[in-house]
Amino acid sequence: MTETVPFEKIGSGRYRIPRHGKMRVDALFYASKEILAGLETEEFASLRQLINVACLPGIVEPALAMPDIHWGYGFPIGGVAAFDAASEGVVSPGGVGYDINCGVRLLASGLDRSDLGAHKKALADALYRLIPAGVGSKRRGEHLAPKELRRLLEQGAAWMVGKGFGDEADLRYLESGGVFANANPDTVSPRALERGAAQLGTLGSGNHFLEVQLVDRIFDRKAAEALGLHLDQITVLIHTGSRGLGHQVCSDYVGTFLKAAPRYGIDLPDRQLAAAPIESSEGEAYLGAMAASANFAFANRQRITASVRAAFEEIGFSPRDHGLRVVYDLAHNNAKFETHRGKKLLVHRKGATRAFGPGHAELPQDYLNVGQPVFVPGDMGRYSFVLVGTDTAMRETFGSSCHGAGRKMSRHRAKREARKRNLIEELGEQGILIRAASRATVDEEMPEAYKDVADVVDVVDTAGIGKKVARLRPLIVVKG
Amino acid sequence: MKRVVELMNEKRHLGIYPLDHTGDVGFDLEAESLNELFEAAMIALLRAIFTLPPEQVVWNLDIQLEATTLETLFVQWLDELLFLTQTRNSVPVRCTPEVHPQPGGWRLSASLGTAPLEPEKQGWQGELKATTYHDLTIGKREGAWHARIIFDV
Repeated sequence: MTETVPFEKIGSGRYRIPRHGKMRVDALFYASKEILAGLETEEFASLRQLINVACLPGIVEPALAMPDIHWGYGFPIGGVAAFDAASEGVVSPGGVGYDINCGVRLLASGLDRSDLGAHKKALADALYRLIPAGVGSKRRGEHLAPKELRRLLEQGAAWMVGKGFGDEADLRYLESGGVFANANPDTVSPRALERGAAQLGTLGSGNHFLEVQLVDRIFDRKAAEALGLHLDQITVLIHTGSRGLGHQVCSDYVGTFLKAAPRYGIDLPDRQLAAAPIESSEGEAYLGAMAASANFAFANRQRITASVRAAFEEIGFSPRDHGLRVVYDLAHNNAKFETHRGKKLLVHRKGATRAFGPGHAELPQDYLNVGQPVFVPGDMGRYSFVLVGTDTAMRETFGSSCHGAGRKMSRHRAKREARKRNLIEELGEQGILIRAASRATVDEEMPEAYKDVADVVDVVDTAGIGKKVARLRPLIVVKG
Repeated sequence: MKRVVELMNEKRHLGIYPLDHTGDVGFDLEAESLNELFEAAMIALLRAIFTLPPEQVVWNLDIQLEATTLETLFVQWLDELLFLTQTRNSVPVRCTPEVHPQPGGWRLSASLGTAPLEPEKQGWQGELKATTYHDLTIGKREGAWHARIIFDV
């Protein structure tokens, strides 16, 4: 029989798991009745993972899970945990995940639905051709020499802009300016470099995607105006990360930390939570490698942005016509030093995003009054949301919010269900053009495999840890 | 050495059971010997990536791995095969892993026959990012070797 998980409702959409057993702090999670029912169906496996996180040394109360929580490996997806180096706090590669600094970037265009009109199919084809997706995909003639790759790992998105892929203005609208300053390429293994070198500027597969979308609802006119969004506008959302380079860095350091943890007396409730003190040689090496991977991810999304612009231009829209500009780029798998409650903490977000409130010093000047943009992709058949961060998030969640819909169906089951249908045709009938490297990826990402992202976003909005601004409906979906 | 497709089809008991993991892909594995369990893990990995894995060996290579624990060796083995497939475009076709304890840990030697990656022809199902330690088990019970493995997708 499965052990029960004790929790209590403490407010609108908020639940607390009181400290018990080996937990060092309380855990807090956000859910609706429907989300709670989903957690129960999986016998609270993801809440057990959250409890495991609350057992790690140096964790600062509370261990958190966003409403898109689902069963991950080690940390639950949707998990947020802050650690204090001064209290022997740890860093855990499993708390960041394999796809280091995976994230989403929203581009807003100067085009409306009517401008795209008859060009839609040509745009879908151009995007699919210009942005490599799927296994073994690479950009011809863009294989980086080791010295160049090293510079990229140090400089992030700025390196790409320096090579002519984008504008200086883009960098102002990237989380942390598109660079982790503490990157140390020397701590990245040769195998990780090999995996990454060929994959720069590629989308990958799984849940990664590129969507051309339509702004179909505005919830907060003032915030939408500040972000430059209006009804009927065409936008582009890019979701990808650090590709094989980040995956390998995580694998390498989980192995290292599994050996190191016993030396530091760290009791691991789950091996995938392998951890080492922030201020240890292993911890510092991982943070340097993680930062280098994060910079790879920023550069990857910057390169893809240049290809998106090129695709619009190829089908006849001049740069002045399409006017594609970066609204924001934010990550949902990383660990960052941030100041909360007057302390410098290392905040792990795995399948969770920053959601800094108005006035935060790291926000672009234009967004200071409304808060940091938060993008919450849904499934490819419904919609995605734009939110902004809030003061409540700064107080309650270390300035964090949700990152997506969260799966409710396993990939195996989704493929079984989708086999009976022609999803590409069904979505086409709804006006959504799909371009994908494999049917399998489309099948396992079928809309019904995900929770309705609107439910997730409503919990966030009601709890006040994010504020709804706009809804985006997919028109073209490119997948690996 | 037998090819993966032969191993998939033959009567010998290699238990490969997909797990219903919400976010990722995992398998419960069962085999009569430890060596066969490592073979079964390779087949599971290939099933997760391909519907029609290649049948003809083009290249041969030897793999030597060492680890302090059997669990770590198991993860290293699968990560090695992932690396060969997804980065070197060299897909395993057949293998003969030999796993032995040694002072301070475990050792694997394997001869591996591989073929070029041809995603469309081989029924590519999507990338795997890595082999995880989450819920990883490996051990012998009731006369057979068992393992549980989850891949990050």
